[in-house]
Amino acid sequence: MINLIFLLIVPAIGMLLIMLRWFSNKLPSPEVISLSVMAVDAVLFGLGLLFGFGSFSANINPSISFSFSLQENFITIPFLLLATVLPLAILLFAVKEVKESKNVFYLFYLLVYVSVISVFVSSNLIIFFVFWEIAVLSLFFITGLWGDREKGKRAAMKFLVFTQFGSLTLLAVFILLFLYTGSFNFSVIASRMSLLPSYIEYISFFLLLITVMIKMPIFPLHGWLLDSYYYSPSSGTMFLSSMLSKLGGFAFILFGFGLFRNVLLNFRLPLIALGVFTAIYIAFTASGQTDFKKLLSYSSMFYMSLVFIGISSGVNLAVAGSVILMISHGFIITLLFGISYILMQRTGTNETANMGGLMSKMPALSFFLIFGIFASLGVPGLSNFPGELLIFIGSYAIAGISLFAIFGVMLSTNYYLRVIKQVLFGQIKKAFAGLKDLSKQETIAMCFLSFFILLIGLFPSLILNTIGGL
Amino acid sequence: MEYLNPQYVLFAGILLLILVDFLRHSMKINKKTFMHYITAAVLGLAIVFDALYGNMDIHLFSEVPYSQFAVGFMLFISFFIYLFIISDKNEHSVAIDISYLFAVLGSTLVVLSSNLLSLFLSIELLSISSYALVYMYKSGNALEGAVKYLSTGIISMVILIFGISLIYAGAGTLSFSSLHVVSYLPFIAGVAIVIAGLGFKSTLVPFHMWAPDTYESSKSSVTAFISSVSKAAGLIAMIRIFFFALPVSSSFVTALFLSIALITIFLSAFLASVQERIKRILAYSSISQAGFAFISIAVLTTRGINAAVFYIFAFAVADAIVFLAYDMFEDKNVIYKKESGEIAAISRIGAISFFIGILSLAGFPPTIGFFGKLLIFYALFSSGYFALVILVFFALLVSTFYYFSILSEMHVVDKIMKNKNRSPIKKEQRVKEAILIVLTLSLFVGVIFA
Amino acid sequence: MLYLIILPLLVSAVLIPFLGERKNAGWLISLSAAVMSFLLSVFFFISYFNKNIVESYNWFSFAGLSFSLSFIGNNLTLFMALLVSFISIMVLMFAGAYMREEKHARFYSEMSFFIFSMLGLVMSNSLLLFFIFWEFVGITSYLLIGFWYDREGPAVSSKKALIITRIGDLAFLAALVVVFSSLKTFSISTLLSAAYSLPANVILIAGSLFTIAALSKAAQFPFYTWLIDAMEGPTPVSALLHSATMVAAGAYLLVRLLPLISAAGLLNLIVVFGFITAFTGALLGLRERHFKKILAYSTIESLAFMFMAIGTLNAGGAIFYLFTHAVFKSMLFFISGGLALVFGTYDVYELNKKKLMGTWLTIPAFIGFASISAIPPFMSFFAHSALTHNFNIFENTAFVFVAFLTALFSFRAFFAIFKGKANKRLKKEFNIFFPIIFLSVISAVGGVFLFFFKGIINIAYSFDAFSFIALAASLLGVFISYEIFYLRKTQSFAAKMNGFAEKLSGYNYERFIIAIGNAISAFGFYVGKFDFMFSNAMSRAAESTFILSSKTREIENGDAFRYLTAVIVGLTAVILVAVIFI
Repeated sequence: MINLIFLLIVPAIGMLLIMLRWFSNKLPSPEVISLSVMAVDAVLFGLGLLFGFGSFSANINPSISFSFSLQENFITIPFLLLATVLPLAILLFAVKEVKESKNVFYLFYLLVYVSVISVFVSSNLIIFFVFWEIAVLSLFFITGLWGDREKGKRAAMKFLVFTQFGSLTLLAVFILLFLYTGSFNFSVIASRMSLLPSYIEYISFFLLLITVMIKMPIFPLHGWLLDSYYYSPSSGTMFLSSMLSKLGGFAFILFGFGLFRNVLLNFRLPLIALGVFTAIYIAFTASGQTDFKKLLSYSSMFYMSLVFIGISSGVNLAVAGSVILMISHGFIITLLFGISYILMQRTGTNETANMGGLMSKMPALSFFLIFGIFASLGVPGLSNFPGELLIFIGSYAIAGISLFAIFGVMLSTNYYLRVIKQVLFGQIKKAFAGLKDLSKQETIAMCFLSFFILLIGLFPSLILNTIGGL
Repeated sequence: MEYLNPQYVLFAGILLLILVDFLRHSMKINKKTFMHYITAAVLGLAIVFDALYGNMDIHLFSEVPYSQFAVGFMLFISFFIYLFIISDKNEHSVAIDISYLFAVLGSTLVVLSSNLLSLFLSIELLSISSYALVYMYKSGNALEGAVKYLSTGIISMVILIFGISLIYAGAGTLSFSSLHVVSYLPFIAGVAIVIAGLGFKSTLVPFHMWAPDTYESSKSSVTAFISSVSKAAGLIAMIRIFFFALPVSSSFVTALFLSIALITIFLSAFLASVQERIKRILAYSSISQAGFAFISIAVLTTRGINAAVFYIFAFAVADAIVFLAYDMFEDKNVIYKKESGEIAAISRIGAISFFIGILSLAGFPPTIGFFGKLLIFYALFSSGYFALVILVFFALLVSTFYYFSILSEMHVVDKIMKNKNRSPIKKEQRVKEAILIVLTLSLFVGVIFA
Repeated sequence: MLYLIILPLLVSAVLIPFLGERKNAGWLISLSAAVMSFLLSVFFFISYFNKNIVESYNWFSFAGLSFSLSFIGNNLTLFMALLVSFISIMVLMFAGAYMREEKHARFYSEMSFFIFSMLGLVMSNSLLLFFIFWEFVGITSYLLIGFWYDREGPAVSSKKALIITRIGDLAFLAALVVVFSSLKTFSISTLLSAAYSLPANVILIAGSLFTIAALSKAAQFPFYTWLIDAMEGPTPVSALLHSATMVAAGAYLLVRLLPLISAAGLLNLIVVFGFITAFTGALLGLRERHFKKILAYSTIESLAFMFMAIGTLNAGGAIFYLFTHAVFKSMLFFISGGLALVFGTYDVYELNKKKLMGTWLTIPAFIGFASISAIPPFMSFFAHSALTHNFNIFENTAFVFVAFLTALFSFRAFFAIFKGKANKRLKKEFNIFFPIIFLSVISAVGGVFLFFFKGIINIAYSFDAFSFIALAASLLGVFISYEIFYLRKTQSFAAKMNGFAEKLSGYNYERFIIAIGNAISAFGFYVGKFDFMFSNAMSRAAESTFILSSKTREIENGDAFRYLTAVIVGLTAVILVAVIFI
């Protein structure tokens, strides 16, 4: 039995060690500390899978039902996999990228790490919200301080103000729940949902929807996406796309599907229609991009809109598919952003048209790029496929319109193949003659991510079995 | 045991100080430091007595459910602000000790007053000593600030006493326990005028205009006191009158209060976002905090009042922290927003406290600012003001923007690492930093009072 | 146990990259894997003969629904497995010669994976598994076509191939979803037995989507253009793509789902599409001068024949023709590749100058082109008779016309290439020589298979009047092309024919497709711009509040008098409000 609190304590110790580095130079470098902390956490998670997770609870202020309580809920485990394992790979990219004020960077890095884990395991809504906000704040600073020199701050501010509105609406939902059920404890609330008058349920659901639509994001609340993805440092972008957007999906499943299911079922047709519209709209947007990082940012939103379709259909099958898609997309988009970062470093440009023929110089990178692109195109055997399949099957039963999202997959085939053609195929330019292939460290990170992409793709039951309680 | 209340302690302390000062003069001792220690000890003792025995309960002053807590946190904050003030190496006159103690005494009495007259007198006591405090440090345009403060303060006092007299004309009594609503025109006008009069103290729009100027021109550590303890007193007096004494539970009063609160929140948010000087931003933020507390009072329910009291505590601590921390930076001439990058070089701990204080003001978890807002929204929701909360969210977004525009200029974290070769820290700075640490910790621990 | 058939190739696909560029290692491994698969297919074919054995594996299950993958072993599937593995052996042998100078590891690994997917596809009984292999085939063919990534041609055409076949893949996916949501299972056998009991709209939607999938994979009108461009890939890949795999998968899908398609009432449509494709293919082939592209047009046409047969509910005929076509078409590709190895060109007019008549390739090539035109006594003639068995009078008439065109364009190529007595012998390499001779022997005498075939697959054939009319038309075509292209008697007529074909190709279909692609990109570009503006508009709106607030700033300018005014106004307002309302 692994108590969930250990998953939080270990990174906390890591943060403490990094802080102690200000006073002592003998401690190992922050990268090493973070890496070992996360490795320990991943191992703990693995042990937890074997022996089960124990819950933890400590009362802080009973009058507002505020307790530090951690407990796994019906979709925790797959997300925990994402949160404990993925940052290991992100770290390997961050090591190269971050040269300034490392200590502070890794402090924030671990802060995002621990807060994402905590959001997934916390059963008290206040704790949930606290860590939800800390994750946002840490990424605000990561984007603002280590991002693009000119536009990073502005992008970070935009990100903060947008997501803060989403957070506030989420807070409003929580307060409304507390108001009518008298508790911030998730399981208690779930058992007392009948106490909510139906209009409160509707209000809460729409407030929640705003949160989710900002966080995932879904048209028309995606205004912050491009700037913050584009001007963040790569590790920040990876966190944003692979973790923060998943928080939105997580909240949607946990509350929208878990608590307000009645409302969800009433509104699923318009919601699915919105998701389909977003998918096609954003697929078109992405096909208009010539910049690889921008293209990836939009394509990341495309997959989140598929997730949105899946969850809004309110069918177990589609929700399970959304979970798989979110997990798998986390790994895939990290891989792709990693490649875009490496390409940017080596070639000095993000424009795909300016690259070309890199396959002859960088076979390993090409392999992983093609692998990642095929994975996101939903080639069977790789992780997106079972997710997409379940989403389409589940949501088609509700609304035939969801099949139109497949058209978006078609468009993404188009732009992804364009990327392969422009970046990898063709004659190599003279300027790129001296390019080096992936370093050992990068290869390890890529293999690590690919392993999980393949694992989930081949054995989706690994994830599905953990969400049987759906 | 009957007299072991903080008010008596404070009063005795004042008398003691005067006596000692007299003795000191007559014995020609030039050392004044021990006088400061006595003052600090008096404040500390007052805190202990408040925690142990509660407040005094006599005819004109009586306890209400929240008063022990309110007096407690006021004393707590005043104690640390005072420590911060005297930790400067500068020569402080003994007058500052005395006026500070008077101000603290006045603010605790405001909380306890159970009669309009005693309320007025307590406010007057607080105000007069505050004018002195503002002018005590003749820095820059302290005079302008003090004069503005004084003139507007006097006007507000006049308005207040005018309102009180109108109320007396209507109700025939000034005691809160026997006050009741009568439908007599002058009485109603009197009530409205009292709102305005107290609005001055608690910087509600449109009676807030003195605040930015005064806050800016006085020394930041004094501003810390005015913007936290003294403002808290004004707000708590509002609670006392409008919730306990005059249960004017008409939906219209609520609407009036709510609109005042909303205007306060929005106007201050917009005004703050266009300021260039850090202190002015903080001043407007302090005004907007008052608006938040007032919106919670406005719903006039027990839940709202509890939320308001907790929120007042939360923002008072946070305000005290940011102004105290800013005091250290102001000494090094950090005035404008774009210069905020340098503050970490001045004091690392100061910068972090400033940072956390601002987080609390902006309502980010896990600070008590967040829990305060949580309670306020809770109170508003339970009274059914859904749309209002959404409206407030927009103001909060604007405030997020300006708070973080300070922080993002600040590179708080970035700079901390870079000043490897900073000059050795002075002892007094250590003390100041220690004070900030304690106050900052209270931002996290305070949640147990929620 | 059927998975044993595909296992060796999967192992070889995974193993080869780890061995790296060792000499011949990749070739040997993949070839032996293919041989092993072939032997296993033979074994299973014999042991499962006339049985119908389903082997099902649960991939994952959720909420009471199981997503199972299942293989089926019966005459049809195992015959297909035999065919695929047999052709693969031939192709891999040929590749040993053709790809000698290239990098081995990537090529043979992808080839193995490609054959693996095709073998899996023909044996799968669950639509899900079918789709998985279907996708694998598409993806691997993309990689194989783009094998020479540093040349511009393959880069473009591989992308085009995948995009167009991907339309079919996604149509397949959509069909899969539609079928599953009403049937709750992926099993093809269940689907077929329930084909008439499903709701009409499900059948119609699923049937049309499957048809689109098949059309795009089999390069039929309107999707045929990718196959022509796919000739940019290495010749062994083309040989494999064109004979038993990839394009055959399209036809095979429809054969498997024939009851569903007929229930959806799409048969006539398929016949019409088949005819259009055959007609355009033959005409466009007439003006092509690239050897492989001529073969590609003929492939399109042959596939169209299969579709016509399928459209007349003649699955047996289609399958037999598929077999026939696989044999002679791969042989023709080997010939083209062998010539290219020697002369370095695929251009028929270039080859014309090399004086090839009388070399050892002449007879196999003749057999091949005669097979395209269905001249007896070659296997193709018998296949045609089976193919046209169910045709009605209109279809027969159309078919006669197409047969004429086919003979014309195929023999044009033959006469263009093999002209002029050879004065030196061509080198014979075993890896090239053996497959060509072996396959040509089969094409030559394979007609007898038709009579054994009855025992394997339900097939009917008839040598009725129309098959002889078609033969006559073909012979006429051969004669005319001999007159025109070999003897060059009527140059002006040839020129006219060419001009006619040019005009036909001038209908700009190709450009139309490109224009659609460009339109989508351009639209995407504008949507992208719109989105950029949209996102900015939100921050603009936020900024405008700051402009507003900078106006409010003027309210407070430190002027005490103004403060007093505000106080008085506020006070008055509060009092008035209170007095009026309380």
